[in-house]
Formats: sequence, structure tokens, C-alpha cells
Amino acid sequence: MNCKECNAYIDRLLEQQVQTGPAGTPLPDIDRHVLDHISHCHSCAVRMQAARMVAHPNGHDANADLDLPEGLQERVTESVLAAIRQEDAHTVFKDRSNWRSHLQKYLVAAAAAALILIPLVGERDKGFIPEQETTSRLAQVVLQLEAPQAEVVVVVGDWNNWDPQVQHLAKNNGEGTWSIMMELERGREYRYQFVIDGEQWIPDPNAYLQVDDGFGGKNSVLEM
Amino acid sequence: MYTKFETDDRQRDLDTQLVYRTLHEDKEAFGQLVSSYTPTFYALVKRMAPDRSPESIEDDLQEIFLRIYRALPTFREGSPFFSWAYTIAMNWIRSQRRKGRSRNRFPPIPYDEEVAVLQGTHRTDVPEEAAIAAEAEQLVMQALEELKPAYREVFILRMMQGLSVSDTAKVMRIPEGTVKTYLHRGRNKLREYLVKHQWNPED
Repeated sequence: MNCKECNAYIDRLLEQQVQTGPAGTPLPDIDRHVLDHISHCHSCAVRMQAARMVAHPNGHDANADLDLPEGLQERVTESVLAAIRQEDAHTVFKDRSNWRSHLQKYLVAAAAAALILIPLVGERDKGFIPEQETTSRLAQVVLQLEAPQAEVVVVVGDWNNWDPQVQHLAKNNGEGTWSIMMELERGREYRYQFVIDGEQWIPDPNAYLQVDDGFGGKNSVLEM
Repeated sequence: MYTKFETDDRQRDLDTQLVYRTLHEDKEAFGQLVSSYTPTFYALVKRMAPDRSPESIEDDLQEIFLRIYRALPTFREGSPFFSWAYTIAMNWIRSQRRKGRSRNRFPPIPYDEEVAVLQGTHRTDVPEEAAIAAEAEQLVMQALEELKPAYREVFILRMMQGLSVSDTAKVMRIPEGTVKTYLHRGRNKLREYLVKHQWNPED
């Protein structure tokens, strides 16, 4: 058998798998002449392997062939934990004592965003966060959205009467990531959306649960 | 019943415990989730953005896991962490592609090397089977760049990452029937591409 014949065999095999078999259908036994050929022909062996990948998910172990860099898991784990410690993000899950200092630490990598966000959060006196809160009833949450082309991003929800004027997200410098840290009441469930440039209403793509909003769209659900 | 692979209830239970511990007891517990999912998301980033260097992928992984961590308060405990985390990872990867950070086409194999491959004289220092697998994946990744994004993502999740149809549907937030349709169309397109561009060696 030569490469041309082997190539034609692989193509017939792949066509049959793609057209008639669902992904996961076992490949039929390969002709022994083909097996013999690909045992000493590198290029045809590559093509047969590529055909397996297209035809059958188990023909390619998900992670086995990717040669993970040595020590990858340890480095990534340590870098993530170090970033978390630096952000002092544990205050996201605890009460709000000293929340201003924690807020500033969280935004240290985006100083301009911090200057925007602190005055906005200071608008708590305008009433979008209840003034009667106690430290044990509230928890902090960060919402974030990737929207590099947006000029303005706000969050609207049933805690701020769906008012697109009150809670603006801050854009991290040069990254196109918008974020906001909020305080909401524990044990409650909230519905919300983002509004981009005053026109586009979208649910939070990172929220686990989306529910119909009654207007043909979706609200994201936030459980505190 | 949710399963990460065919049956993996133990992994699901462990994920649930670690999420609970991170949220209520010790944020350092998140490190175990990071370690557990690093190989999976490394593979995902590498397949979704094949021109990224290993060092860049490590940076990408840090960003992905930090986004997962910050979004934990929105996670419904008891739900499948696996597909929820995958969705956040995919959203971030897509946003990077839109920014053009991974827009470069997968670099073509240099002419001399391509000739060597066709002639079967390709030299490599790595074991032969690993070299074959790596080249085959490179071939398929080149073909994948020609697909519509949705077809490409479904193929990578289902065929390369090993997710079930059900999990692929959860991550993509599309019906299972649509997953099967996209997969069928994507595989057909891949076959056409491979036949047209690569599979005509001269004897």
C-alpha cells in the first residue's frame, strides 16, 4: 500500500463516521494493510490520528497529549492564592467592618477605577443601600463584565429599582473589564442585568442562573 | 444527575465541599480547586487559542481562576461547579479573542518541514507516538480556525476536552440537540478542509 491508497482509505473511513455515525461510535477495525503502512509512514500516521480526533472523542484523551509544563499546577495555584491574599478578598464573604480600606486594596491595580468607584459607592447615602443595615446582615459581592467596546456599563436590579442612573461599573485600565463591588443583604435573592451604553440590556454571562424577565429577555439571579 | 465525565460523583462532591469551605471557612481551600482544574483549563486555553505561549497561558489561567473566585458568591451551592466554572472560562477566552489577542491564525508549518512530513522524513526528539499526536492536533487546530466560532467551540468541548453532550450544552447554554447539530456540521467541515488542504500527497 502507498500513501495515496492509504489517504483514500482514511478519507472513506472519515466520511463514513461523519455522515452516519454519532460522535463516539467506535471506529471499525482498521485494514491490516493500512496499519502496516502507517507503522512506518509518519505522515499517514498523523492523518489517521487526525481522522480519529474528528471522528471519535475517545480517540484523543482530553489532556494526555498536551505536555503540561512542569510545575504548572503549583505555580498557578500559588499565583492565584497570592493574588487573592493581596486583594484581601476574604472580606467579600464577611461583614463590612473596615470595608472602605478593603475596597481600596481591591482596586489598587486599577487606581483610576478606584477613584471612580469610591465616590460612587459613597452614594450609598442616596439610598440604594438601606441605611438601617447591620454589619451581620450584609455581604459584599463583586460583579464583573467583559465589555471592551463599551463606554458606560451600569448594573440594574431589584435592589436599586432597576434604575440605570445609580450604579456604574468601573473599567479596569486598558483591559475592557468592568466591575463593581456592592453590599447586599444576606439570605436574599436578587434579579439584575447590565446595561451597556444606555441601550443594550444583557444578563450577566457569569451568573449561573438566568430567568425570564417578562419582556422577552433574561434576568440574572444573584443569591446572597 | 450531573456528571463531569461519564460518572464522577466523587469529583462533584469534592468540588461542592471546596466551594463551601472557600465561601464559609477558608479562602485557601480555593487552591485545591485551582490545582484540580489547572490541567483541564490549560488544555482548553491551548485549544481555543493555539498561538498562545505556555507562559501566556499561565497568565490566562490566573485570570480565569480569579474571575471564578470573585464570582463564587453568585454560585448556587449544590449545583455543578464544573460546568459553571467552564462557562466563566469560556466567556473570558471569548473576550480575549474579541480583543484580538488570539486572532492570529495558527502559524503554518514551514515549507521545508511540511515537505519532510509528507516524505515521512520528519525528525523529532520526542517519542514517535507523542510527535504523531501533536502533529495531528496541529492539523486539526488549523482546520478548526476555518469553522464558525460556535461549531469550533462545540467541537473543542465535546471532542477534545471530552465533555459529554449534556455538559457541553450546559457550558454553551444551548440545547443538547443544537450541540449535536453543531457537532455534525463542524465535523463535516473539518473533513472537507482536511481532504482539500492536506490529504493529497504524491506517492
